[in-house]
Amino acid sequence: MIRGVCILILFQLLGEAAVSVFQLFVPGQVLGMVLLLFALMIWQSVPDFMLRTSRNLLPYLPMFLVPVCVGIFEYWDLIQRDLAAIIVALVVSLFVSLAVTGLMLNSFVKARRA
Amino acid sequence: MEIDWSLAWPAIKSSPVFGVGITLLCYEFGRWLHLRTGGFALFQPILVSVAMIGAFLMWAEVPYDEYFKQSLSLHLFLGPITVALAIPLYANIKRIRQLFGPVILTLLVGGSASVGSAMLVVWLMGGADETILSMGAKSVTTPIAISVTEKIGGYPALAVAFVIAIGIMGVAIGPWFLKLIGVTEPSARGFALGVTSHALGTAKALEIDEQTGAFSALAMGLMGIATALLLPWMVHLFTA
Repeated sequence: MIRGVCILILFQLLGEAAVSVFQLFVPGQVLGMVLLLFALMIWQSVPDFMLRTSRNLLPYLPMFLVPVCVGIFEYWDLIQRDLAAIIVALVVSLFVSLAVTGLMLNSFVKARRA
Repeated sequence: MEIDWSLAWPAIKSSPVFGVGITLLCYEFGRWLHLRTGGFALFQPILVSVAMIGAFLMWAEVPYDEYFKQSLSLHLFLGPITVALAIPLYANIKRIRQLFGPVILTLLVGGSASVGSAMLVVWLMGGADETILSMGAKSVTTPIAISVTEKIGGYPALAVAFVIAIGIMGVAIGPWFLKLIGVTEPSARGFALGVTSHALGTAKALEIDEQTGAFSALAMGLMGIATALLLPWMVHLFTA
């Protein structure tokens, strides 16, 4: 578990270094994910300890988002100004986004299988 | 010695572990509630815990900054966990490579529809320009949303609120709605959740199965990159 976390932190730091050096626009952790993916593709398998770490950690992903999410109450004054428009926009785009993306890829996958 | 009981509560409230404590406790309660109600969509652990902590902070008069400082250790772990998404991605790499063309095409069409519809609705309903611009980055993870919104002239704080709101809504409604409209392929379900609800959608997708989770992680990454690269350019095109 600890070994796996060390590797994850190492790749996040690599990502952050690369973002800084090449002045990229993505967060270091997202680049770290891409770098680890490349490393696994070169290695051609996932070491057991990495697999254990990811299986233990990933189910708790939403919990680690809670501290940021609670911040939504901070923006109440800003939100209130255009409250109706914001709610309608979020609801409309939620359904549009799910429907367009889901249906499109779904039909591609089915067409390929047929 | 005189015992002053009134000192206890402020000491608890200001302890550095207090934020972590209530976060774990409320999240665990949310999970229990979710299980007890047979997976009722509105009782997502994240939704329940955020609402409970928000109400509690207001009642206890703890400012958000104080709570965030106390729960920073949890927040910091988001980094390594995001990196860990490479593992389900790698497990599904064959499937992802097979579908790479369709995936990119779907990303461009679906992502534009998602962002465009949100901005259009605010514009039609007479919202402020800053609100319209802050809508642009609503479907990407917070760090990207903040930097993109700064670049195009919206309010980063507002964008973060939208990111959180659309994330939670997608988690509560997404899986049910996708089933309703007949999206049955795990890859398509995962991708739709990731494009719409970034990390929160991905967390939900991982609960469903590994392939759904992998495609959601992929969508989250690609949507972040596409938004960072294309949104400033598109806004410039429309406002010029």
